[in-house]
Amino acid sequence: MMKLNDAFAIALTKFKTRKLRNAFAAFTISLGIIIILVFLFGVAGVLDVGKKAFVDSLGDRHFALETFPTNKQIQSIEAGVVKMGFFEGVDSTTPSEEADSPEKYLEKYSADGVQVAYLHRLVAASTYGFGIQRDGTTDEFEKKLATVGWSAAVAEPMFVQDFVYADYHFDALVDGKIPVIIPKSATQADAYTVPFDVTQKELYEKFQVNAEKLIGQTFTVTLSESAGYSYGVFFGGAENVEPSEEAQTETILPTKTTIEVVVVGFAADGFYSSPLYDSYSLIFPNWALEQNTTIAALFAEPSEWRMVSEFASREERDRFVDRRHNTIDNDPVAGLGSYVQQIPSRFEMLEDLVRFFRSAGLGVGGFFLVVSSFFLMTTLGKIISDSQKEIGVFRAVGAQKRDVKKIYFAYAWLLVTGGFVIGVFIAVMLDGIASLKWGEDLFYQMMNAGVSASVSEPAFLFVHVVPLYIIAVYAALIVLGVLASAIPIRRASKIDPIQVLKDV
Amino acid sequence: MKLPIELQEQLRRVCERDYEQNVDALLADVRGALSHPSVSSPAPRTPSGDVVIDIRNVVKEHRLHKKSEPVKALRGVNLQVHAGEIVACIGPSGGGKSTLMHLIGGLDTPTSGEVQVHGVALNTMNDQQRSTYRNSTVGFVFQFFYLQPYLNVQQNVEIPLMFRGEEKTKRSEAARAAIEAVGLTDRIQHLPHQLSGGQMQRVAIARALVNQPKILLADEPTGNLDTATGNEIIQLLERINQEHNTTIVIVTHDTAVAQHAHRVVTLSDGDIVSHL
Repeated sequence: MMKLNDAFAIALTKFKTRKLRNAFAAFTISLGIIIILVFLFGVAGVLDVGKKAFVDSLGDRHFALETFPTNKQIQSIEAGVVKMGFFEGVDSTTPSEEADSPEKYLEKYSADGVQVAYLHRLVAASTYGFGIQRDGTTDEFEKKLATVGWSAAVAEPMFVQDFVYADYHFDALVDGKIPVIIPKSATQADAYTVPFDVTQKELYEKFQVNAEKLIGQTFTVTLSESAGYSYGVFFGGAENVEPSEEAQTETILPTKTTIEVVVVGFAADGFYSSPLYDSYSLIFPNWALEQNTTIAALFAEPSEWRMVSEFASREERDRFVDRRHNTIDNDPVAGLGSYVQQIPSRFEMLEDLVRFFRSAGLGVGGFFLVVSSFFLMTTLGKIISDSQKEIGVFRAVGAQKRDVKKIYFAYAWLLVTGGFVIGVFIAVMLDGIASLKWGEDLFYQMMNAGVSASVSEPAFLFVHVVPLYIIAVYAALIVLGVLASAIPIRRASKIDPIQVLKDV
Repeated sequence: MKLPIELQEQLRRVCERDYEQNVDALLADVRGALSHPSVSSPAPRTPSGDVVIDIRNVVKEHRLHKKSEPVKALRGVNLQVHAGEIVACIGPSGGGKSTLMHLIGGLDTPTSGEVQVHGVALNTMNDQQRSTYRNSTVGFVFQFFYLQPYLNVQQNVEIPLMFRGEEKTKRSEAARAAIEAVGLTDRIQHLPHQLSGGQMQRVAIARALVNQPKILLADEPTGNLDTATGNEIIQLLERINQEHNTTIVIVTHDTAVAQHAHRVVTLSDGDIVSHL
């Protein structure tokens, strides 16, 4: 009986004589693989870039705030509470003098009113953000970044939203001011407005330098009723920003108000915002910040954090939030921290999205795999049909039926494996090309959706070659290949040498 | 052992005539040749070896379609072939020559009767056993060579050994020996399309010999070659017969080939009509 390696040797030699045709056949077989792996590697790449923070954290609302920065206040957030690392005297990320010593911190920042009340406490924090996009052109951007450093920290409403939905609430004002935190990666928001001569990387790096200076600074922020509406419309998604009738008739008063905020720290990198209308609509229906003011805020609500912690379920929390929502009037200051929209969780949406893309990839790719199998069957059928005399001779000189099967299974394996290799290569290439073309956008959209809490700097390559996927897809392909090859190969083994060797 | 010159000439004339439509004429001519007064007392026609191929009352029926009436390709053929004998099968097309060869080669089984080779009835073998038989006991040489175009000379010759599961080194050694035996050592790495017709048939013979079969079955081995090359091939077969005592059954229309046979069997209409 023929040895398997000899069968492969014959199949390979034969395979090489039909390079072009076999390459085409392998490419056709690869279509399903390409589709499946493009999706799988792409999704894996997205997860990889996000360091899996978003999917891993979806279930338990655990945010891996790995790099909560220099003020060291928030070390981690889990199970609905924010651990104040500084106040616990623990900071595992970037140890510093201030981080290790609450006294030194207070000494340094007491003037800015950081209250001792924050110490020794795990708090449930509710964060609210509001802000307004810089209206600067590219030319103006440099100047503004230099002179009004914090304004580069554009609004992080999604950050705020995510926090709201994760049940985080601060429990006090800071010296009568609204404490705000600023996401370190806030400049990513400028992807929407500064696309030309300043790269995202440059923005990011500049912000890293300037952001440090913001801690402890207080700002007066102007809220404008009309701005909310106009910006909502401008960004085209202001379904939640319906101006009041008074606003529409311009009879409402006051049209402007101011609030005091103090920057108490930074959010972890990676929290990023959606366009602004979400922000102001989130906090103040029909109100928005004046231009050139951008913050993310943590609002102190001493009486509520305990309540939050006692919620038995998300639904209960939602009901609570809804009740608060219904108490709001048009006074933005009175309504601080007490309005939450009933919108689906971004995380759940993301989870669904990932599931959808995976399913789509597997579904469409699976369909093409089956189509590929049929193609393999017809290709192999044609090859066998062309090789009848060869098979006849093999049988005449002593090949058993199983020897013929071995040779053509080896041939089918070469086609399938060729298709597989082509498929993996093209899938990686396509993901790579897609990343280059759309990766930056996707990254910001991920940040926008609160995807990653741990990306320290933008990463745009959304390709992650997962060996397990490769093995799984290959195994599936082999199974399909065997099934698809079975019929033509069985036919090959039954070829009657007398019939095919009849000379004309 | 060769036929007398006169008989060879008569046989040539028999073979060259077209008997497709007139079997009686064929028989008459063959009988005439056999009873020619100028032929001296016949020499012993077969070597004295044991009977290697024993065909008894073999009938073979074919059906063109499942429901069609069976057509008899062989009608109770009896034939014994001795070890070391060269037997030429001649006769008109459709006479049953090739069918007989297929039966001896284990490619087909008789409808009734028995084909024994070395005392073993082929029709009792299953497909796997017959494959093994073809691989070890017989070697086939075809009119159109049937070399694999993508394999070089050595690889083509090695094929039967591959199906035997032989190790590569042994395979290579045996193939080289067979190729040397047919005088193509200098072409060992050539592909079939780089060879002449005669060389291709030599490769095919080497392939048939590489398993050192006891029986060589050649179906029109010179049918696709010019006369000179055909002669060379026949001489080669003759040499193989002499050196290895290989029993050779040749189906042919070529009188030159038949002249080299120890015995000529004429098949017509599914039956042996003469032994010469």
